[in-house]
Amino acid sequence: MSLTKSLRILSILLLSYFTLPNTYGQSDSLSNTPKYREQFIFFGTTLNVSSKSRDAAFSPLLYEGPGIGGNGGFITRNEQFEFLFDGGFTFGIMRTDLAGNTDTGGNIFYTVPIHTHALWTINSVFKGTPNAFLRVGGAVDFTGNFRGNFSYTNSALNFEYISGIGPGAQLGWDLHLNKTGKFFRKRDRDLTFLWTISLPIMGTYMRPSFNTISDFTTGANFISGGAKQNFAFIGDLVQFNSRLEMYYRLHNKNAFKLFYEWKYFAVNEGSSGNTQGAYHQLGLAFMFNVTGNK
Amino acid sequence: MKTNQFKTVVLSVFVAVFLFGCENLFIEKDPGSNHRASFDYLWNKVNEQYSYLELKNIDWDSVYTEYSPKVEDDMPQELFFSLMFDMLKTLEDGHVNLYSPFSVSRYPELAVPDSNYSTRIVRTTYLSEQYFVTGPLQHDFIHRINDDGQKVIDTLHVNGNPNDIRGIGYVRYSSFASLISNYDIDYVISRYGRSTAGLIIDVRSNGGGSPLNIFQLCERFIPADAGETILYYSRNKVGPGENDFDDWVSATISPSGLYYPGKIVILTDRSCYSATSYFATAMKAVQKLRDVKIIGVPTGGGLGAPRGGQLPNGWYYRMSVTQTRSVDGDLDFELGVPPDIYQTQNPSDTQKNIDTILETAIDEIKHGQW
Repeated sequence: MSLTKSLRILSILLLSYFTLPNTYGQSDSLSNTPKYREQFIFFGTTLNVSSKSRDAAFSPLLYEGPGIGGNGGFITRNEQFEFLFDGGFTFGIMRTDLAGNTDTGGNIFYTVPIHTHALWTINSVFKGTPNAFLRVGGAVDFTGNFRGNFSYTNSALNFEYISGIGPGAQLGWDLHLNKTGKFFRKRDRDLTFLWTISLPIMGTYMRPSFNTISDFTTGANFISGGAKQNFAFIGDLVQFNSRLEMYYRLHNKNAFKLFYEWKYFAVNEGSSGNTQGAYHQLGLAFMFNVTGNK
Repeated sequence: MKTNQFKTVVLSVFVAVFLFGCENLFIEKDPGSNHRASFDYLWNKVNEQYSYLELKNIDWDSVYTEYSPKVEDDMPQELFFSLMFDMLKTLEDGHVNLYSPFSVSRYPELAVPDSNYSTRIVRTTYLSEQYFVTGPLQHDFIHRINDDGQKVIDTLHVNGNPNDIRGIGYVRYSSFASLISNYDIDYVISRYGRSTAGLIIDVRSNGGGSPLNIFQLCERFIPADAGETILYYSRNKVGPGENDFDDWVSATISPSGLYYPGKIVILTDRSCYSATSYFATAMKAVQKLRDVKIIGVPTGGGLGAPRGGQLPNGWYYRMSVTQTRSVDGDLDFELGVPPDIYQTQNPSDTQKNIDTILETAIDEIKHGQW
């Protein structure tokens, strides 16, 4: 079994451990949603279960591999609104299926994703389900993917910078679990489950030029790859971000955040050919409650 | 009831989104790694991106016609590699290579060591035992062996003036891959600037490296009042069409660092490649501003900067994707930068530990018309 598959299964087990007992182990009588306002700054670590990239400018082959990284951000939320800004980094190694056979290279990759959204609660959607909510609004996504494959000689440094703006939505559920005395339920527990998606409908991207190198013989920046900024609408430029999050609140008002993020991106235009990629990452962050007294 | 339905929906979404990475629906599958797919891919890449098909008068379609029927998926990989080796050889370009795990294809002419340069002869006949090594530059005053069999500094009377006795500096730069610092080149110029009538820069068998070193050197060779000086022009392939290039972009320098005021001779041979050919091309521009001569044989070319990539079978390739022309518009320097004085190594001189090309350079500094 490949490392990627093993990590995928491990991450499923981890998330299942937290979600399944909590979802069905709660009291049927949910407490009413209290009015709340909370702000967190969070920092954490990420395990990139799988990153994939196919950049036709350099290779027709799909590269895939795991990585590790970190993330951080700020969130402010209440029952009506949520604003989030977060970013992170991941580095690792991707290889093709032919690696170790006819392919003697590999991609060292470095990914910098940044996401921000502002979402407002639509009250009428889950009227019958206390504490459940749907939020919609706008989101901005940026992904900087850098890959280094020294087998490409002068084209060793390849990349895409993609940014976009579009709608975002969030399905959420704030849970209060009364204590039962059993494991995990020895005290009252406050949990939040979130599924957030964003789909930029327009944005900009930078890709290497048609021949993938800058004109470094005239003194141009070698690592720029001759890249230029381009604007595109969805279709030519695709980003889709989906993240599942669970907040586990501590009694000192801080919290842990366990999350899983899936992101897909593609640039389907440009002289250097299309590029596609995706990543799955698991993360654990500690959330410092920085809510003021107001 | 509604709460239970909601829980089911939420849980289903969690599990569904988590379990299935939907990107497999969008990301294309790998093409087959068979020989046919790799051959077609490589041929097409060269057809769309190689920058000198027209200059070299290569009919790439006929190359396809010749090699395509020979490609069979069940042929041994060594045989397929050999076939691709021969196909790429038609481009006659040292910047074209195919890298397999077991071998690297190349332009055969450049793979044979040039007979116009011998480290042994230069060091035993023309340099002292304690020649200097400053960064990547090996340098010394040119020596000669006197009647007593001892090495002494070779000198000349500048303009026949018996009171103005100077030597000749020799600088060996064996690879443009070795970066020259400001200190390195300024030290060399300060050592020879006032005490020599000429400086011989020996770049024979220098296979190239970073073009940045060219600027470092040439900035010291143009007069202080030269201002912004164009060394050569380059342009990129920007599309699949034969003439899809962007505009010519100039490589421009300004005077910097110490200036060497004497005569300059550049020694070249066929093993001068890539950045060394750029250097020779640049010195053709410097030649318009001061005394410079190139002596030896034409360089090997390599004035197309190469890009890299990968084939469906996992092998890697590289090929030239830019064009370069001199300030006078010479595009055919890709085939070799011509010297001002053509000179090859005389085999009989080799037997006597004499460097024919270096002797010509010394003679040119002493007695040549400048």
